[in-house]
Amino acid sequence: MKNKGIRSILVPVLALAALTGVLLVPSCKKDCKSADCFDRKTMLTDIGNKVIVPSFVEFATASTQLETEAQAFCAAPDIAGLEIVQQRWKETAYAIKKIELFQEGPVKNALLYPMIDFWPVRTNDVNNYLANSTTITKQDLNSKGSTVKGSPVIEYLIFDKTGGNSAVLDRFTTAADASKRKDYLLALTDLLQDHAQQLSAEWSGTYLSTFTQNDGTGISSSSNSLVNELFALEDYIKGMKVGAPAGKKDGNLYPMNVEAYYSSESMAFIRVNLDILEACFKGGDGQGFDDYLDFTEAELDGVALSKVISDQFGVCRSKCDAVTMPLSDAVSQQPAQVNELYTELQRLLVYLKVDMVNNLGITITLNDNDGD
Amino acid sequence: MTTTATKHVAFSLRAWREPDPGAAWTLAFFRLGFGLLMCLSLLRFAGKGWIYELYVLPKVYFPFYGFEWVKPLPEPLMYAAFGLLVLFSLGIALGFYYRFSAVAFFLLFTYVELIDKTNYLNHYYFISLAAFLLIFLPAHAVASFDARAGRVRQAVRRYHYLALLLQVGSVYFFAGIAKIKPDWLLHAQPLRIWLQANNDIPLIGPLLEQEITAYLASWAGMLFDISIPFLLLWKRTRVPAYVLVVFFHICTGVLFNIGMFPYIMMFAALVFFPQEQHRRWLQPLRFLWGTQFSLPVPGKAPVLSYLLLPFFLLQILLPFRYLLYPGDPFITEEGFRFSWNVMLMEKNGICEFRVHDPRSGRDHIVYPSEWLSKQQERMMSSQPDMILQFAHMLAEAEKARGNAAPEVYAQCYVAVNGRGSRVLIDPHTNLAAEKESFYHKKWIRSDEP
Repeated sequence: MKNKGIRSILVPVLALAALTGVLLVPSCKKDCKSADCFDRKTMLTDIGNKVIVPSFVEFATASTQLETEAQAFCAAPDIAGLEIVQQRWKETAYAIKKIELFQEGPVKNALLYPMIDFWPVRTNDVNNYLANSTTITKQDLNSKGSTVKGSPVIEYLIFDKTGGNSAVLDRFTTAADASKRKDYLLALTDLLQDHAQQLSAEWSGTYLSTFTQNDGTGISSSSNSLVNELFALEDYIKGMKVGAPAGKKDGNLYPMNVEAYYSSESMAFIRVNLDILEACFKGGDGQGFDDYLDFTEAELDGVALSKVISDQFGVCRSKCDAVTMPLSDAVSQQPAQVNELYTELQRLLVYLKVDMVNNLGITITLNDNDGD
Repeated sequence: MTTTATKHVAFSLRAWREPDPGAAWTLAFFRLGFGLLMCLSLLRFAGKGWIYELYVLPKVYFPFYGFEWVKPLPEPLMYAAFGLLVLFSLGIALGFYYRFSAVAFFLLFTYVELIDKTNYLNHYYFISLAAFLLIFLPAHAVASFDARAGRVRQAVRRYHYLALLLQVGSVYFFAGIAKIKPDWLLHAQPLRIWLQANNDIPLIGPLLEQEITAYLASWAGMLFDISIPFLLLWKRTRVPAYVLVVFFHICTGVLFNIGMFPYIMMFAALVFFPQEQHRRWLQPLRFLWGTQFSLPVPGKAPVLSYLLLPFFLLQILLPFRYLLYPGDPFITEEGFRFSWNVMLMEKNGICEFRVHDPRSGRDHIVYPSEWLSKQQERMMSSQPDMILQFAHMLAEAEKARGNAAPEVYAQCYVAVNGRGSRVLIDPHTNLAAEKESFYHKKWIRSDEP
């Protein structure tokens, strides 16, 4: 009787536990092609191949060309050479505005992002470094903090908002520290190029498959990271790139605190950010979060959520176009347009962070505390 | 011989104060398992770094209404508190100064839970309730160090046994009642969202993305929760019912991020087995305590035991208090906690605050992420009472900066169960002037989209 009692409970329980175990062991994956099922792996593969890797490759290519042109310019500085360097810097910086979205993985592992894109530029740090260094080499620069390196420092060296290109050229030719300044520019472009090559190699290499294989919906899954990255960057554009200079933080305007102040590229950067956000959302021309949302039949007020979000990207872009001067001027001269842009960016954030997340059932926090 | 719990319960209702020596084994079994599972849960909690993350790192906390005086201890003492909780849980498990351990565990555990609403979980509520109940149960009458040392003075009575079964059963029953809501039964939400998010699980993955699966699971879950206490009570259905319990909890454990809860409930449901069974399950441990226990002579039932009546009455009433509030309980969350609303919502929100200085007429925006941990921000962004608390924190900070009468406005959007985002808080209400209370918060936009 004693044995029977225990066995009558244990046997079915164990059998069931074993059955459940077999069902849940992550082994084979299903193949999904039709419209009524959705395969996150396909989506991750498309986003990885069509959006992420090309962005890093573009960063590597552009930064290599920037380094080459910086060398040519430093060898024989003239206005034409400077303009080419400026053009190459813009191309590099646009690529950086794309990889800005993809912080998880190689970028985060190597703690590289601040080394590439620290802004607003701390001009005191940069000037002190230039003044206090005897010789500037890549090795020396590499050992320094993020405030004296990266793309924004290059921008600060090669643009002059008031004096124009002739003032910049003077600093590279007739100024007392011209030689050191050339060394600094060379070290900056060389180091940036190193970082770009490293990241591009990692994403094009083994990390892409790490990324696409991690196709669950848990806290550390790739889908989860991407969703977090999508609205984190969107939030950052709204709060830091538009809101902070426009006085949202304390009622004071901070025109100097726009991104890319010296080159007046702030609005262009925001457009590139929005483009890459949308490309990631759509998976390039492949499977993206828009398809994922369609699969879940997500709607907002009777309209497919994928369309709502896609349209809102368009609205944000048109609000960018309505700002017709550099953002540093627009915060005081076109405050209404800047405010409208802020409002529409906020609306996009609601669609991404509230509606999309709600329908995908993706945990939006990195804290993995138990739910109830 | 085996007494069926059904007979026992029926009998107990008539003679609830009668001594019940057999029930001493059920109580001891529960005491041992509960104590050990608590110990394990606490070690897991500490091991994941959550003591630091949840009770040391945050700059501000969200205490419960009426418990605003509850504050976290300084860092070393916070760790010490968890250390003590581990010791008390072992005291409960082994029946070593059991009564003291139970009182201390209940007080300390509940204290920790009261520090921050952010961390509220239904299963922590269950643990507080169970620990409170254990204070009144002589669960150390047998198979304990207290019994071996002759430290047990209170006899086991039928109402002790009944109370334990009631406590465990009510978790399921009320969780089932809470599922009788349109979202759950008519729209199969949030299970539709959650199941399709798990469509990469082999073999059953394709099933999980079918709409019909979500409906079946929703209805089955509701029926399971409501009926399982009764199926476990009845001898003829007990074993299959328990198999179902295990299956149910393994499924939820695999699909959702719910930590120790499935294991605690799989264990707790065993109290419905016969008392004799519990005695046998405790036999292998007789080397610790011996086999002979001189049960205390039953005297008068302690007057304190009558506290169990309001204790259970409150538990029965709390889950229905949401009916006193207008609007959608998923939106307002008025009467939502302490109601066994387990896994009923996928709710996401976003909130930013505008602080207005009426003297200068100037505004500034506060992003909660500058003040709160990610978890706090996530919880605050969708829960009106936390939004009010945060608005008050901002108002206090603004006063400290010399703005005597700051106004705080929230711009807040939430989405529940795939229903689309909507404004949660009236953007024209100055939250700094609103008081927390149990009355309905009129500034929650609970009806119009």
